[in-house]
Amino acid sequence: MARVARVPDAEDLNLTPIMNMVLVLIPLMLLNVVFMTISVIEVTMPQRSAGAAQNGEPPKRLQLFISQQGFTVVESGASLPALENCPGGGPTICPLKEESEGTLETDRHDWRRLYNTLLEIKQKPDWADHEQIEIVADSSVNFGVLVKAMDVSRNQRVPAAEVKTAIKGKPMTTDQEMNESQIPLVDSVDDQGNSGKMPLGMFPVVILGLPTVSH
Amino acid sequence: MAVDLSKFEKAREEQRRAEMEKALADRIKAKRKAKRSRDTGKTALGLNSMMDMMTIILVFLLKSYGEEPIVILPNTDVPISVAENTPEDMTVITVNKEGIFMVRSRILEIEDGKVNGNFKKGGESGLIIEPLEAALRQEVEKLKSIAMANGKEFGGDMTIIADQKTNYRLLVEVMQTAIGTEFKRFRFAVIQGSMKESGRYASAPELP
Repeated sequence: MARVARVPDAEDLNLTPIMNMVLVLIPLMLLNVVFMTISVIEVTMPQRSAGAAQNGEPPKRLQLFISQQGFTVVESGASLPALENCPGGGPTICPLKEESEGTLETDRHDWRRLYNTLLEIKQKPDWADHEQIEIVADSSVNFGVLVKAMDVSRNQRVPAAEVKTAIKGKPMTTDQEMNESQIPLVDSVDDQGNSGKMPLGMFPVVILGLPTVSH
Repeated sequence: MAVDLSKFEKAREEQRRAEMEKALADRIKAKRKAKRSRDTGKTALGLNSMMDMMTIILVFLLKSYGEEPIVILPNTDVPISVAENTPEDMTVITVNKEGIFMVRSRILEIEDGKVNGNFKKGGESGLIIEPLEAALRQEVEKLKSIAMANGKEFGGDMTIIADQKTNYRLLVEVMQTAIGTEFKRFRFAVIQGSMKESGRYASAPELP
């Protein structure tokens, strides 16, 4: 007797296990994804022994010293005089707020005056092509302060409304204006020879120095 | 005669209306019946569109998962900056509140934001951190042989991920140690943000 093989009806693919897996995977990965864009700031640091080359010292140097007491800007070896509401003989720019519990060190400093001071130097004709800034900080200064100091000194900024048309940076009159200011894009050529719109630099090459002794 | 005609017409209209109403009622009934039978039927919930969506999300998540050349370790509050350069794959050193890490492995511990003088060449005032130096030398050797096999030269690039509260002294010690082991170019990893937030970190207390 011949048996007739019964062909079962084609069944739908059972996707339930896959669905279960996907449902577990998605929240897991969503947890892991960091919704922050990471970028980098390039810096250089001379070797410790490089201090020996004192005699061949370039005549034009812009130095920025950061301490808890404020910023000192040194232009070609001569430190700039203290600005208003800052005692003479001390740093060029004093912090806005006193050191206190719960205040982030970054928030204490007077970034607007620092920016204006640096921009004033950049806009002098003989500093226009200068790109380097040496940043030296006290041992105790936070990394966050250093990052902001680099942000302030690396680019020229203009109020947000003028960002489309500006070709050079403008001094900032209020802290809010400083916070909302933007970097204009200008036609320039980078070191690889590509030309195009690039953010307008102030002192984009940052050289870090060895720390000064904290007071 | 005229009256009869109007009566006849009226009757016909009424009949037509009744017929239409009946048809309408029938149709509604049929619809209800169909609905009921569908509800009790074996048809499954339509998950197709959700499946499509999930598959797409999964692909994107997997992509972003594998792309990141820099991994931020927990307990590291990376400061915010306006910088826009994209990071590249290279030697990554993380300095946070707990220690100095290379990729994910801890090289040494940090106490009160300082490296213990015993671990430094020249004691407390030294700039070279010995355990880090040893680890970096090994890494440089490895990178050099990889570069040589590829016919390239070892570039000496290093990315430093540091906590917002890391003090400058520690940062310089790490960099000086790296310079001693042939690293030349340094990059600080930061999180992109606005000028207002620059120098702060994402979970920092709000500005007053």
